[in-house]
Amino acid sequence: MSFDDSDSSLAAAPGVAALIATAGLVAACGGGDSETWPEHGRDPNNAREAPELLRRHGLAFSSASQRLPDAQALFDWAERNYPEFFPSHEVNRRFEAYTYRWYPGTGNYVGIAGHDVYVLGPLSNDELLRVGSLADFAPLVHPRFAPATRAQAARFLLQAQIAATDEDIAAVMAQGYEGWLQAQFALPPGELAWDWLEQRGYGAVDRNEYYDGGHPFFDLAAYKQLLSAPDGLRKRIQLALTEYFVVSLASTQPPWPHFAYATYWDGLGQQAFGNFRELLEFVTLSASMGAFLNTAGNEKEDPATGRVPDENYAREVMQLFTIGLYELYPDGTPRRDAQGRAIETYGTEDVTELARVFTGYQIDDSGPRITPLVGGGWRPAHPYSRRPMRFVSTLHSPQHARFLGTTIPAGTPGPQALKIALDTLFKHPNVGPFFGRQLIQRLVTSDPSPAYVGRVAAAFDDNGAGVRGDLQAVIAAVLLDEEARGEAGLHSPAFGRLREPALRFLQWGRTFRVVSKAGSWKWGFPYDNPDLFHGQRLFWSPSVFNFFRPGYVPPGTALAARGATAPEFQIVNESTVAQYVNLLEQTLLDGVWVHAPDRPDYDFETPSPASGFDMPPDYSREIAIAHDARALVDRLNLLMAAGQLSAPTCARIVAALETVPVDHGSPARDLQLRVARALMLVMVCPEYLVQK
Amino acid sequence: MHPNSTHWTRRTFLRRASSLALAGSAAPLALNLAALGEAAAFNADDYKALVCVFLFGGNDHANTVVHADAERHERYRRIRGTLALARDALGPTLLRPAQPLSDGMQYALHPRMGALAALFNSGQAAILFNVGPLIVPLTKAQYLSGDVARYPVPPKLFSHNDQASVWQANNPEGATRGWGGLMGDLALADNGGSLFTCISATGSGLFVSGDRAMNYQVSKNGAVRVFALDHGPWGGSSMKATLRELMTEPRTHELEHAYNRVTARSLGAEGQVSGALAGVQLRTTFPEGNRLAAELRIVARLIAARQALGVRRQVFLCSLGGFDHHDHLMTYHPGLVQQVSEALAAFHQTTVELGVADKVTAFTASDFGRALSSNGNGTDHGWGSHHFVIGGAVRGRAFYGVPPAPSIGETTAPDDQWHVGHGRLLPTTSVDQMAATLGRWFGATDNELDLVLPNLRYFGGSQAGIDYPRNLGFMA
Repeated sequence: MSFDDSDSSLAAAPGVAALIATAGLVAACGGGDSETWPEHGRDPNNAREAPELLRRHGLAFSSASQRLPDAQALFDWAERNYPEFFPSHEVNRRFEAYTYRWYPGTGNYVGIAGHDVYVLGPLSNDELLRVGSLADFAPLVHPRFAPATRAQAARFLLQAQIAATDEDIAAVMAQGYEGWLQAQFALPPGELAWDWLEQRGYGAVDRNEYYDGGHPFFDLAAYKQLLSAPDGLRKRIQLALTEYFVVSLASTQPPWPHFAYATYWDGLGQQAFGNFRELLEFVTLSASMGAFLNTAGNEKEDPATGRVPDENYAREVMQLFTIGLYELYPDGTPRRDAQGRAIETYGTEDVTELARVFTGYQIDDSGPRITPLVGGGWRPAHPYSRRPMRFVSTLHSPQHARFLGTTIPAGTPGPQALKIALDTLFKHPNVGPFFGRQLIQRLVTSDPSPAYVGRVAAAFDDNGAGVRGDLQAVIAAVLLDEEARGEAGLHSPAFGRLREPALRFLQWGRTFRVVSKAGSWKWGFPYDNPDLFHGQRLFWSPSVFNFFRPGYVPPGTALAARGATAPEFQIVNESTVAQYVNLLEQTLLDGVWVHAPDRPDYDFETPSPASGFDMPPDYSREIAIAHDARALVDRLNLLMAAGQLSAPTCARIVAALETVPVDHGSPARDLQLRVARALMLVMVCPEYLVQK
Repeated sequence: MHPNSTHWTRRTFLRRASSLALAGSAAPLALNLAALGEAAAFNADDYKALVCVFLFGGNDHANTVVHADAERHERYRRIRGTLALARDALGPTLLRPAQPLSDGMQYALHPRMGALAALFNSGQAAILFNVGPLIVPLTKAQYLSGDVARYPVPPKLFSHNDQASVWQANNPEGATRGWGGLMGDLALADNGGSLFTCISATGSGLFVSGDRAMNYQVSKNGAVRVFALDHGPWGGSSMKATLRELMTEPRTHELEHAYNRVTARSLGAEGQVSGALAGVQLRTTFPEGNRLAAELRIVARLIAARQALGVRRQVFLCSLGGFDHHDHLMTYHPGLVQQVSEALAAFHQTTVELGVADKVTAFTASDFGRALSSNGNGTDHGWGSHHFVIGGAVRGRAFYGVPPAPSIGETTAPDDQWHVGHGRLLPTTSVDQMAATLGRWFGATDNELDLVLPNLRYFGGSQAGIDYPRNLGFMA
């Protein structure tokens, strides 16, 4: 299978166009020839500096130790990225100090002398320009920082976000990996889920009883964002955070649960590119988490009744959110005592004492109230749900709290005790490798090498400017690591991760521009289906332990023999693998069928004339090439699998598709059928299912 | 599905298991393979099944099996406060053992567990007191000594996921072989290597994953059919073969291969399961809106279809979640234990209907028990817990093990010696003892049990006035 790895039309990024305009150049055929470097540019010392011409501004993650590109790599890169100047593929030539290429189509020269890069010709008004050193270009040319092929760009995108559309791929080709990350980091969080729910009327007090639990309305707000929001990286990280700092809508939630969870989700999004310490505090005080892990309503001990503080959050904040159960080396491997036993990070007493810190918190349901239509009583009006928990000092334990070697003195005010506790957890050396390994598992590979974990943990410990817990640095370290970007993983029989079932469908939706025609985004509304995405109904995890555990090892496999983790396999079984293919068949041809997309409610009894395929895919680009089975499969392989389906696999899919011939003039339905069938054959492939 | 499974014998299992045990254990196992070759317990042509009902989240045992005599109930009530069940509500679920407990001690089940209390009182169920993971018999002083070299303690106590794993597989998260699966390994040869030896009705099933016996996972409606393979994707019947090939072919990539193997098993088994279940009609009705009942129902249907499936020994896993009641214990726990009670009663009734009541033994398990102390409106993680064993072969209407006193004191009094703070029970019966008793009934020999349950060899004696027998005697 070959990929069009230069695709000049897509590589013509806006930045290049601007650059051409700024320089006042008109691309035109010039003179010159291939045999010599022009006489007036013989002396490199006479060059004028033009640092902007072929480079964008410096990148945050550039590494001084980057290996320098050779002439071949540099010129190839220049041809791919600046086809206006270097429109053909030429061979290297030498003349005196220069190694260079000459482009008969434009008359331009590009050359290297010493460790510097020069251009000459119409692009420089025939003046010798020094456009930078090899070191300046290294981060752009080296594959870690810039994809050489669209497949590499797609691979990166499918780790960094939910889908890889043509436009996304073009952006990464133009910006490089780091440039794309920077651009994504700079995008503000878009519309809040809370605001969308409000706009859609989910704050109404009516017969739909939105104020109580059990409804999937938050899910709709999330589907809208996950399928259509422009800040793809933020959405992907946000989703990963919901599987780390798990709150489940299937469990205890405060009134107006969809709004409360929306506040949680929106906060995770706002914190996703911030600092882990602030993120931890946000999570700890959020009403959704408070209700879920029982900090809300947690009170100080009462010797008279024997009541003791609730230990749930104290335990899980250590076990799951920060340090884990074992002392770790910076590379994530467990420390062991002299007898070879892993050393536990905390004991029962640590939990009991830390629990005192989390006393005195309540859902802040002050303010306006509403009266439920059924059952009487009252609920807070829904805007309460934007607030974190409130602290009531009289309910806070006055006792000291000794844990992890820290002592919070008796009588310390609650907010200060919380600060000491969270600082202590945050500064524990386990956090980097513990969190880092799981972020790698979510985005890149299920069983990362200790070295990879160590590099990510190092970025957690210090972002290069002395800051601990900078999530941008951690995310960049995960996605730019040699293990994520290098080719070795593509050839290893052990690298990669099983795509999460829900993400497969979101990827399909985003790739093929699925939008809700009615604007209601009621995916999963043919019926109340708790098993939507067969074992992975997002935001409705069975417990705080997520749908799968980071330490899960699938029994009876080659992985078990090595003790290799593969979390997503915890929800792979004889039932779910079959349900997956059945859901593909329900979804791929016409999209998502929705009951009553014209209404916001949860009423499955009352029919609606609008019921139908409210969320159809846009296959127009695929239908345009559907008559050419090979082109179609190549395209789907790129978009869905980053080109990771092997040539023989693609050939088999092509052959199967060609058993039902279509041509340009075939009815539109036949072409759509071919696209859907091709997609199904791609999406059942293990080479697709396991993302490398 | 199982290459060479018919060549897989108990002897090779033993060889393999003993080499694994040797590799992973400091104390070599003196194992006489030749002597074991004579073992023939599984060669009988009868049928037996073990059914594990796992209560995820850590069941609050103290509000499940409740102190009912006036003195102890009062102590329980004082400790629990608003979380105590009223004594006058316990009459209908009072347990009436054939041999009364000493000292006027009485227990009742939660008032919502009438169906299970009736099974107990009719001799079809027994209760095991204070069961939990132990590596060796352990006193409180030994536990508190922190001398884990001499008095090893199970790893990661009080942690949900890990203790659920230790219960099922003797190891924390990451374990891959459960004791139900290893017992399935023993039975595999006599089952013709059947895929239907170890079955989970509840998703991922560590308990029923063996060394060779795969864990087959069934949905509550039976096996799921892939419709696209009947007619091809959207009628593209000429693409069926490619579709099936892509989904099932062996792969060199480990994750790809692992995934395709599950699919291959799924497709291979679906026809057989659906065919076998087609003729099954159960008269017993299972309660609606009860997830555990739905799982036990498919288990009962599979047991009814045992001949069509060609199995003589089976191990099943079902579960119910939601027991982690740090909050709202009095709101949500009653409904859950009612579901457990009604589901188990319906299941037992079905085994009576099928004439296999004495061939099927169900038992409960859970992450851990909970503290006796209240945290206001719930209870926190504990260790030991009370459990049920149900079936016609159970020596029912009886309690086994040592009843723990209702106490949370930190004194040297005898009543305070079997909890490790806040009334978290220090188990007086290990999971391995319970498993060994079930395993002997199932057909495993003592030597085999030592391999399946590597810590069992530390049991059989007594310590501090407590007996730790290898066989608890609750199975006929």
